[in-house]
Amino acid sequence: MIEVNGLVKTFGKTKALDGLSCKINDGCLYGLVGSNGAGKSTLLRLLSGIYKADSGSISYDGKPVYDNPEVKNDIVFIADDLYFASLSSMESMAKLYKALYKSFDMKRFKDLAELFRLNTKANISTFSKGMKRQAAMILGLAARPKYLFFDETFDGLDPVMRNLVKKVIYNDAAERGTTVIISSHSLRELEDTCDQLALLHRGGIVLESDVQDLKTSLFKVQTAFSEPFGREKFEGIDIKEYTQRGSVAVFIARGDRDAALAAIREMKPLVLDSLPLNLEEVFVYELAALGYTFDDVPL
Amino acid sequence: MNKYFSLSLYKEGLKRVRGVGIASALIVIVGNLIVPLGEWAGHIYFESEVVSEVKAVEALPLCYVMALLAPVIVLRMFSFLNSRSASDFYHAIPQKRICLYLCFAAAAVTWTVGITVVCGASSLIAWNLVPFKHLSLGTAARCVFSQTALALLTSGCALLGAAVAGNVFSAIFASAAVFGMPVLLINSFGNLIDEFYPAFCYEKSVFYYCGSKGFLPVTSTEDFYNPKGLPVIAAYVAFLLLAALAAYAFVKRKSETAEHSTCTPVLQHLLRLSAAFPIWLLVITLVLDGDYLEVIPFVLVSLIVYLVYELITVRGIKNAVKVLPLFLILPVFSAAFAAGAYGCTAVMRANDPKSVDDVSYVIIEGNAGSIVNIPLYEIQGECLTDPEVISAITCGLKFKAKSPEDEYSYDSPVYYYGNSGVQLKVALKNGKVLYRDSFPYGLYSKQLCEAFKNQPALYKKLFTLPEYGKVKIDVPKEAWELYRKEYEKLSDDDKLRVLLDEVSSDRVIYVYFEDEQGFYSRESYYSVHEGLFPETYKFLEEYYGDYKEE
Repeated sequence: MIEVNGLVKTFGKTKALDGLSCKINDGCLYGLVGSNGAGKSTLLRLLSGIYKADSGSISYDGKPVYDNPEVKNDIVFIADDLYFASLSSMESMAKLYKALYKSFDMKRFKDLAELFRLNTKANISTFSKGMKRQAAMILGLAARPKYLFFDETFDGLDPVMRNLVKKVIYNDAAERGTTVIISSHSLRELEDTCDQLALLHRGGIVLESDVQDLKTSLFKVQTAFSEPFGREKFEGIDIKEYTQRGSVAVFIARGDRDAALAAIREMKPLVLDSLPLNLEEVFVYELAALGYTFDDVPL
Repeated sequence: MNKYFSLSLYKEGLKRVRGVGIASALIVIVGNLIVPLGEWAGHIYFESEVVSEVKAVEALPLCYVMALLAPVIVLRMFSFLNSRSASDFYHAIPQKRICLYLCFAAAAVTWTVGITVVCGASSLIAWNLVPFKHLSLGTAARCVFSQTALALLTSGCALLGAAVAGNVFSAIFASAAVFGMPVLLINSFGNLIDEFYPAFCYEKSVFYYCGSKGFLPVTSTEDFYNPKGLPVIAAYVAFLLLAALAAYAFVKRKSETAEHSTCTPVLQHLLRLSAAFPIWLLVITLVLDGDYLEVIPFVLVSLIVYLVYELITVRGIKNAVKVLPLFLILPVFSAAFAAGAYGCTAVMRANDPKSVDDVSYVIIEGNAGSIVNIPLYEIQGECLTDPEVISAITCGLKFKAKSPEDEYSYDSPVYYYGNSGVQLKVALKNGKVLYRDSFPYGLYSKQLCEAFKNQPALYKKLFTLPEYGKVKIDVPKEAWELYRKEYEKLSDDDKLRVLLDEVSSDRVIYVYFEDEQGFYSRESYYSVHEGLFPETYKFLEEYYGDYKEE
């Protein structure tokens, strides 16, 4: 288990993380989402032992990570800005990984390279952006780490590759209990991939929850009445956003969905539907509750 | 897993700089082979029957270039610290930071030492294939040992520079500052003392031994052929110290320094000030000379350098403007620097003897200046106790002599003789021993001659011309012997005039003095006046034809 307590990290005058705490269980597919500058990349680098926290602690089953090769041997971090040795091929990078990571599996590397149809002998500098990301993922996955961190790595992958990567990650998580942390701007990606989600804002986690639970905390209702009505008709329901066109109203509310639906049913509506909310909508409203407007959210 | 060293990481380091390493090897090794090749080609046209020993300075002339290439190897090795993606990668690998540093530093050193050793070995073979040339194994080994020391010294500076910087420019500048600033400060301080007090004997001072010739042997190539080896040993020690300091800086360094200027704001301030400070050494000199108006352009240039450094490294006009007030540190520091030098001279003057009676004896230990004072060259090492002689020779120290005529100020019109002064060891009756430079105008005066007449053996030496072979003379032996013969026939007054360079002529003979390392670092000259030296003049006219010294 990864335990983070009161993590603070400052860059000059900018506080990137401000007392962040969380617990990530083994085998979890953990999504990190947040606005630009929320601290996602910083958190991942701290978790990888690249950065040293100004205060607070990070431990992996009770052991610190910073400058600790024993713990770092089980961690692979795939950054948004990838690095490959100059004039290297995937094969030469694999040899480097093999020399550095005890559990690097050359057979798995070759199998994954074949699966993704990448030429392991070609110079990586000739690869496209997406191919480089695939190469980085293959090297990371072949290292068979216990903890695998992706920092906006899925960007730049085409949908087919994205699904392929997800499948491989799921298999790893299922077979070996790999803990995967993925940061992304794309909530749709995290929605499909992760089972835990953390929402970062201004250096702290404002929302951390099971993905399914997150989706059910807010709900969307579409309803219509024969007589004229307004928002006041739904007094008692904690409505976050309300739109009405003619006799059809759509609103997003927080609270007990079943109770709200029951209350509306008693009003004898012509139409009453409970619509699914995607994570993007949840994200928008949760941030709005924190004073973040929709226009500021780069989705 | 070894905590401090990983063979695989070391091999990765060797591979990392193979491009730069191979290029350096080609430049240095092939470049050094050109000299023996040229000698061999020359032998085809000019045969020699005498086997000559290849001197240290000739054996590996281009190996000095390794001192420039070694830091390039180091900076390339640690270039990952200047890129965020590379820095993240290497700081994420499961190795301790100290292990990463030691492996990469060892790989860089391997390349450097390997190149110098191969260079030495190939030159040894090449020189010994040249007919009538012989390079001994001992000389070659000494050259490799000393050249490696210099290359490692510059590598150490680059290790520290790379460990504290976050971009290429800062890394290069920091490396240069680590290398140059200590020497600059020490040498400048010593020169300032010399400026305030010309009798200050720089070459016997702690500044000389801590600066140019001792523990920071970087200003003179001949330092590395010093038979005593102190500069070479000092360079190895300095490398180890710098490497250790760099290790500490590397381990403590924040990974996020990559793509920023330096790891701390304080260091950024120091480097910025270091960039502009050398110009202030000129400002100090101008202020001391009273050229106050001429100071202004230099101050402006230093301000521009100061701001440009900040703009290049931090890339922001706002940042450059913000640090403007800190520029005032430079004039304050410069004033303190000069005041410190002046304070040292006050201490020296306090130690100086107040009269000749305080002096036990004086020994002329060497020359002060590039021009050799010939007569005094001949009496070096003699213990001079006669008060009149002491007074005359030490008049450049402003001793209060027995008569007003003996007192000569070193700021007299003949200060240009300052290039032909002498280094004195002055033993006082109170037991203290001082080392001073003396530039005595009255050196060749009748008074000195009168004083030395009490010691006939020394008197004779004053007027002795050096023997051919003891020094290097730029005319044939025949001409010099003729000159000496004609000189002996002159009256003492005429001899004095010749030695005082009071007889001008369009013909002069240059004399060069060889030091321990085989360098001709000092010279003197004798005027060949047609009236005083008719035969020599005639000989040289025939020898040189129309060429005459202006």
